[in-house]
Amino acid sequence: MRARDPKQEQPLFSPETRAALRRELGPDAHAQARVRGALWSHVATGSLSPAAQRIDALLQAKASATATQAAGTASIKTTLAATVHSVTGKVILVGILVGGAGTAAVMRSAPASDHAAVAKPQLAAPMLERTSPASDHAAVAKPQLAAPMLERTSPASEYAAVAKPQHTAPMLEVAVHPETPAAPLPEPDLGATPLPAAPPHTTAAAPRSQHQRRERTPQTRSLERAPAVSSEAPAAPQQVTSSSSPPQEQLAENVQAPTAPEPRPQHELGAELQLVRAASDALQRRDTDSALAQLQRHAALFPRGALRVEVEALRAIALCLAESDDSAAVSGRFLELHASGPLAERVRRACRPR
Amino acid sequence: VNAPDAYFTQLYEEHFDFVWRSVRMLGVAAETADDAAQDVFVVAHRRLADFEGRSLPRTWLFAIAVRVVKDYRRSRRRKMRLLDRVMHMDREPANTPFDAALGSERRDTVLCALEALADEQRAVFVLADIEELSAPEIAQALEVKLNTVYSRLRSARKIMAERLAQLSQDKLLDDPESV
Repeated sequence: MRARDPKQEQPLFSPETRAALRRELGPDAHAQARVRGALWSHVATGSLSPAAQRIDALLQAKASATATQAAGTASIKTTLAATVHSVTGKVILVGILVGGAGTAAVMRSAPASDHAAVAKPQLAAPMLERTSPASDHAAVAKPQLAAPMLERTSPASEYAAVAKPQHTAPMLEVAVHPETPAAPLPEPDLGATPLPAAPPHTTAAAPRSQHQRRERTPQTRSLERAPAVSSEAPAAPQQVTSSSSPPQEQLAENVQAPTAPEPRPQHELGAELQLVRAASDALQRRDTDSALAQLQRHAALFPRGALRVEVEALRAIALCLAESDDSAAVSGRFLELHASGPLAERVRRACRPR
Repeated sequence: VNAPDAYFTQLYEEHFDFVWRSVRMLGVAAETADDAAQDVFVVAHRRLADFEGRSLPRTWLFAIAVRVVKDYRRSRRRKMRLLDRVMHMDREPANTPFDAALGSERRDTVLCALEALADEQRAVFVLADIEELSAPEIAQALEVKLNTVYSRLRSARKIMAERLAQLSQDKLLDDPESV
């Protein structure tokens, strides 16, 4: 069934409004630099916020499940390939014995050529990975790189061309290793195939299993990209060198053995809540000294607590109720940082000039 | 501090604005949007090996952003429930963003209207009607079928249109001279 184009249905906003909204809803001019500092530090140390930990664990589990599924699929493919080899070998043997004219046709569709066709995207992929993100996309968007080979082969090889490159790794292993019992045929196409001059790491990486590929860290990916990058951009090898320092190992450990998300202990949030409740109760009694003492205690015990924004709001309210000299500065800072937050109006109301 | 490699740096620089804007439109408050955007890129850096170019970097990052935002919103809802119990606070502020002129508050109006959408509808609407991604790209980013994208977009547009009309009406009632 041909799906409808959503653009045919009327969008709510005109193109000009959409562009304006993108501008208005975007970050301020300093946000990128602001986040970059903290982000680079996180990347270097491998530390994660609780939210990032949870999402990372979730995606790790998803990737593992996909890898397991792919490994199962690859295993079936290997078995199928072996069966085809075996059957084809028998057919050729019969053909040779009989001297029939169909032998050549059978040989043209022999699975060895499939393997050669499969090998090509496998080898081509790392070459493309070394380039920009746009060409990463191109690696998949342009399967015609391997198409000339595939066109000569049978429908079975078309299937191989559709399959994701990493799924083909085990099949490649069957094709390359001569000791594989299920490959009685010589490998005429494989030997004759003009394989691209791949760097040594590519050749070594080719027979790796899907699971091993999944285990790569971003740093190892960088290392694998290094040769081509270095030929194009001299700055890249320095980054590769620096990324192999101890923090990189620490990162690699984190990726290979991801720690389970560490949720904030319930008792900690409970303790925070207790202090906030005490401060709130004190404010309702107009006992600002007691409220401020509770809030001060919270700040000392939980400098990065989950309720620190609320504590700041209560502190501003308490100072305003106490008509403290600090009230203007504290409430002003809070409203500057949280102008549209749910507590802003409450702070504004408490700190309104009387 | 060891800097991430050139590939990741490029990814960050090219898509930071998009990621920040996305987390904001998906419902993260302005004051925590920096943190959420950072979390998206932290996760992206760790999962870079999983990104094999089957999708655009933008849709891949958006898929991570959707998960991060969901986590943020869940935490925030939980926190707000607890706080409401503890502090007996008013849920709604006395003033709404629509007291000001609708034209100058377009951003807030849209953000407010987006609140009316379910998370799934909101993601599709943001990508289609603000970020201008194609339906197949959206389907890939959200890992849903193409027809699901269309049906969610239709319902999201309907709700958004109603909500925006309602907000305009409220504005008119509050301040007839402003329109």
